[in-house]
Amino acid sequence: MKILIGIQNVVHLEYIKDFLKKFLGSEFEIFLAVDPNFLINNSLSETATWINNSYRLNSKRVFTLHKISIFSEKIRDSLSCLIYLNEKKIEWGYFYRHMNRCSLKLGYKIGLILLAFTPIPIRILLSHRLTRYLRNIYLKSGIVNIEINEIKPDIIFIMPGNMYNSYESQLIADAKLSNIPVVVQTLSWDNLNSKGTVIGIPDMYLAWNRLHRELLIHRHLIPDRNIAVTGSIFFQRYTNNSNFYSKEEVCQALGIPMKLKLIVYLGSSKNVVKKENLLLKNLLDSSSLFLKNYFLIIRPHPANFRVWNSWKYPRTLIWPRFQKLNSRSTLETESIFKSSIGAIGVNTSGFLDAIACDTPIFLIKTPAAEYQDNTSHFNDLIKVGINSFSSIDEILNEIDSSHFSIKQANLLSGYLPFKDSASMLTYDVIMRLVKNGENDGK
Amino acid sequence: MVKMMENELGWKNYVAIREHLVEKDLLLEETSDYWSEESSSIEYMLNATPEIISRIRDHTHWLTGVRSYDYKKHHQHREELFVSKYRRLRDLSKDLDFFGETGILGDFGFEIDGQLVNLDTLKYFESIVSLSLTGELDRLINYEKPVILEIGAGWGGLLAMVKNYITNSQLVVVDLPFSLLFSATYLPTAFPHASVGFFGSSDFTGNEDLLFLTPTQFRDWKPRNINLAINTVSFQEMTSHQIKEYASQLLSKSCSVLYSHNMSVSPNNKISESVEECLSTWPYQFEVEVLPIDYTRLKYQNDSEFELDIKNRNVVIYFILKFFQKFLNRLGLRIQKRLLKYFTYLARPELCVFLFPKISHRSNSVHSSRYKHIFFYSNLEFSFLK
Repeated sequence: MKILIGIQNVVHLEYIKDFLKKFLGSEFEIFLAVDPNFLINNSLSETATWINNSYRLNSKRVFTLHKISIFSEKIRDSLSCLIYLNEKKIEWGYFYRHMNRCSLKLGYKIGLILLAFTPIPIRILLSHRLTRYLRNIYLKSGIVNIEINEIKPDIIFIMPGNMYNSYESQLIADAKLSNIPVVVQTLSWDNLNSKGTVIGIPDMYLAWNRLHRELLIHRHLIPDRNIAVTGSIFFQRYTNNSNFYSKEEVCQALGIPMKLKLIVYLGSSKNVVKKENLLLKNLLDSSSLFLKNYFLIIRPHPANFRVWNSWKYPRTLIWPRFQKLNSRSTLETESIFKSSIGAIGVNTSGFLDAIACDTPIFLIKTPAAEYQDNTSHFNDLIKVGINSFSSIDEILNEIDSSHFSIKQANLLSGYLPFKDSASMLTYDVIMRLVKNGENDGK
Repeated sequence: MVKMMENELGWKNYVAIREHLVEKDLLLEETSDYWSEESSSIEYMLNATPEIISRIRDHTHWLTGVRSYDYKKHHQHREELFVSKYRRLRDLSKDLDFFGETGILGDFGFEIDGQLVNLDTLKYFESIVSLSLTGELDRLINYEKPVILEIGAGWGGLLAMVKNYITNSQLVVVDLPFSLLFSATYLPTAFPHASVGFFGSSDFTGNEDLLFLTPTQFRDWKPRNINLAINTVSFQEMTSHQIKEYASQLLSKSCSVLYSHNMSVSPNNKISESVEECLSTWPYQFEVEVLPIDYTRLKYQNDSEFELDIKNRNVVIYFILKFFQKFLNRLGLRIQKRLLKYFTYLARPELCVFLFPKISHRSNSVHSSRYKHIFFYSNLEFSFLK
């Protein structure tokens, strides 16, 4: 059997590498289609070698995805902005950001903004119809990635397929026109509420949790029957380490006095907080409890680690100093989380790492954040009962009171369901689609 | 009496390292052309007398270029320059204590705030400031016994200063055999209670407070981990191959952080790749700006001081420069930036700031000295547990 995997950035393979090796690698011949804008050193052969070496993937063939026509691009971009208007509440920040990223023409922008300000029922009716209409006309564009006719894959697996300049999203249309089942995997926690949408409805959209499912139905207009909540393959890695390092070993490795209680500060991206170092410094300066009994390990956001280059504050440590997605050590990260009494942060996917390691999370609410309570993924955390705090002392008091434990227990099942079986469930969905495809073919 | 005891201890330490080097036949190790020539100048130290060792610092100019002669009373008029640079450095990290020369074996310098200060001391303090600004000093203080290694420690001045901040540290010197004659004499004398280990000797355990190794021995040394490796002004004198070898050796020995204070390419040493390129196997690096001038220079004035200085010296030149400044500022920003780039090679940074006041504050080139403080990170803190 053959599987074609369409990805935007080759580094994203990190999210699914174990799944690819353990589950798909044994059943399928793997073909990889990558976005030409994300090649390593602009070379396909170097990229192919890098993929095979880094992930020990024995891929049959690696090729670059083709550029879509300008007309298709316009539809994809309009569609991606339009979905923000499909729900009652608009996430204005992401809506504007997406419009700017797509470089829509002024006329389109004005049209969309006017639509955004029409009465809610009319706006929703119009945007739903337009979304469906645009998806229909997109599918008439014809097959672009002709390689799929040569490869004839049994299934196409796409990730993420909804970025503003995604080349891989075209594979959905190609698959539909070639009668090949297609699966789209959600990439990250905030991927469905802060990015664009897919250009067609896939046979199955793999969501991590309830929040993703709701967003897919109401914002992306994906029918419920085309959605499978399979959990996150990526976070399953945290279940594989039973012999993580003890707190004593963590303290020994990082030079932390053993008697202090550890807290992890999860860094956010630059989009969320511009000068995160200053924000944390102010928070720590105003705390009277922190220096008494605690030690803060600051875990920078992988795309915002330079802001911490000249960080200096007693009883804090930047670790790791830099983070590349493919150089993260799960064992070390998990050990740090397990040794900590809590994880704090503004708005970051790092919360999910903490949740996956059963570490309680505490949200810092700050006016310095551009994307926080105006985003659905953050509000969803509040909805499930996670409190937000405006100072470090409030958080430390909450940690010491242990009031949080019940709410935190709900987080794991709510946010990362099927933590131990996500890969198996995803594999089942893929195999079911392949079998259905075979039956339809017969 | 104290001085005599110190001198006796110094002589004892010198004899110990000399015997070790001779006994283990370590004096014939290969070096770069630059260092073979430098080493030949200090070969006489093998036959030093107790008197020479009691004033060993009079002979360390072969390693750092700083001469005790320049700090004699008749050079007192230069003290002002040292005070100015000393104050600038202290202002950068106000909560940091300053430790000058230890005052042993002929240490010298001008007395500032009760401390002996010379160009070496200021250079070392500049390194301490950069370690402090990046939070490295705080990180190391937290360890029970952090391992701090210096490649090319010279006479051991920087490590002696580091030990004052991180008192519980284990200091490791990796240096050419002839240089070890200096550091292995100075450091154990400065810290008489510290235990000393010479790699390769029969009683070496690896747990001593002060360890001394030659570059060849460094390959065979198997530490549990290294918390900080330091190289100041000596990678720039090595061959690319030697730097790369150190880079990979340090990574293989689980070194977490490497701090380099070097020129990218030294005019004394024609290498095809820069120091940073040779160290690019380290996954992450960043540069810290401490002072806008090289450690070799003492004088740096701020904008108003500089303007006043020129005016006082020569009014005509001042007005010519002022006219030139006005002319340049009428040019487009792009042209100004291009001109500034050339000026930074030709003129003092203060003059560049004076001539291009609009853009020079935004330009890194004006404020970057040739010697860069670069920190390299490996994220290998946990590897010794594996």
